[in-house]
Amino acid sequence: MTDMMRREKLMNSLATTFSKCALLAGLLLLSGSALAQQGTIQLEHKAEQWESVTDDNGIEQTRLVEAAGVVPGEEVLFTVTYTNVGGQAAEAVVITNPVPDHMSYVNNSATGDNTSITFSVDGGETFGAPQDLLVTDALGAETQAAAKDYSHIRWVVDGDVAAGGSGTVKFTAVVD
Amino acid sequence: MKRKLTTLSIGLIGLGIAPLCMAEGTIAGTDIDNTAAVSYEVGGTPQTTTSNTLTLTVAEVLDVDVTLLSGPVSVPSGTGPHGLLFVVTNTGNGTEEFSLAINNAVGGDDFEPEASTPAAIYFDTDGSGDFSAGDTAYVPGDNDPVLAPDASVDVLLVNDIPADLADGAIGLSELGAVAATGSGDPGDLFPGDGDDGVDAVVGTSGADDVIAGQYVISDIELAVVKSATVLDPFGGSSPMPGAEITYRIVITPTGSETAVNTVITDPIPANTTYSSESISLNGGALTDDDTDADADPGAGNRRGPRRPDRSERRPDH
Repeated sequence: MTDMMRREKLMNSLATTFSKCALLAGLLLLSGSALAQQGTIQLEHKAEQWESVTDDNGIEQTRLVEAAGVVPGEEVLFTVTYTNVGGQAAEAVVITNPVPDHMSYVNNSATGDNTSITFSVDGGETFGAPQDLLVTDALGAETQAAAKDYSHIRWVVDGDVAAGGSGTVKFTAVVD
Repeated sequence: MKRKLTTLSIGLIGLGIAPLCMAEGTIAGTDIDNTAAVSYEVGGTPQTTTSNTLTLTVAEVLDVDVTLLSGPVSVPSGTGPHGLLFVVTNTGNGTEEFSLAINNAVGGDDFEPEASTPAAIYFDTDGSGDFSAGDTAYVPGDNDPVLAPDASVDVLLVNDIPADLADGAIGLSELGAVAATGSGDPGDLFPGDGDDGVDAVVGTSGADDVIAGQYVISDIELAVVKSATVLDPFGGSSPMPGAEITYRIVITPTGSETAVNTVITDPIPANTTYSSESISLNGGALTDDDTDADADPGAGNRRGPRRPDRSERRPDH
């Protein structure tokens, strides 16, 4: 009996600790990237640059290398990989990526299999196809937005992402 | 706080530095962060997740431009110092120190300008555009210009011109500027040597630029030939008391320069007296008035004693 009570107390204590941990984990999840993999869909983001190399035959070829330091005028290829690590299909999957500060979107560079791609020119408030996006020029007239005006890119995945399913979306931006 | 920021940005604009819209791109050391987000539903429950945050640090691009502002400078032989005006611009994206150098051993010219001593490189401190007393001498390693991105400094090369050079001879003098962090081929990397410890990369200029300014010898020689004719009171040409002597001075310039502020001075010979109102220039009469109000192309000053008698001699100007 005494053992039972002790065990119960211990279990309660563990439960309390566990819920505290869960709460903490939840807060961390909200606060950023460290525990990004905790959701049903994981996102993995990488940045690459093209590097020119000359092979043994003297032929120049380009290859992608991980981006670290960048200089103005350089293009960076961003790749976001989404994976459904949960046990159920994910519906209405929408991936949004801001065009980073100090960078400009490179026209026609966004790709993603089985996705519909739209852009925002108002900080992610609204999204539309390139021909539907308007900006106000210096003279106050509305003109069609250019790639450099885009603030966000959005990929709407067609259909569900099945459990274990994954895909990638990409875009290129140039350092201002 | 808002007011402070506004003041700051006005201050920066006032210094000729655009804080946000850099022609040469994002400032070295800037971190570019990127985080993707996904929204989705599982069993009708909306959820969101963010990706890892990628951070790309902007490296320092080492670039410099040297531009000649002076056109060919016309100089007489054997004179100096003469300045050539250049502007050195930091075309990179970081704050960079530059070393400056003069080179007069440039090929393809007719003579070597001689670098002035004690200094041949000056900052155009007073903004006059030419070498003047208010300019600060450049001392290598001591006051190397440190320029923010897009900032520039006006620099003068100061040379003396050797004597006895032919009219039209050309002498070149080069100003070079090199980034202190490093220079070389575009793409050369100096890891960790950039602003705030970021990598520094040599830009398209090689972080080293040089351009030559030009001196052109434009001398003028004035040949002066003086002649005299005598008219005596008896219609002859004997120099005797009462005879009038007409002096003629012919000045012939040679060379490519234009002589300005030319002053011709001729003493009135002993034992002669100037004939008033007798001077002329290129056949046009001049008055003796200091403030010559005639429409003639010059002014004459009467020198020497003036006596209103008939025995005055007539120097012809």
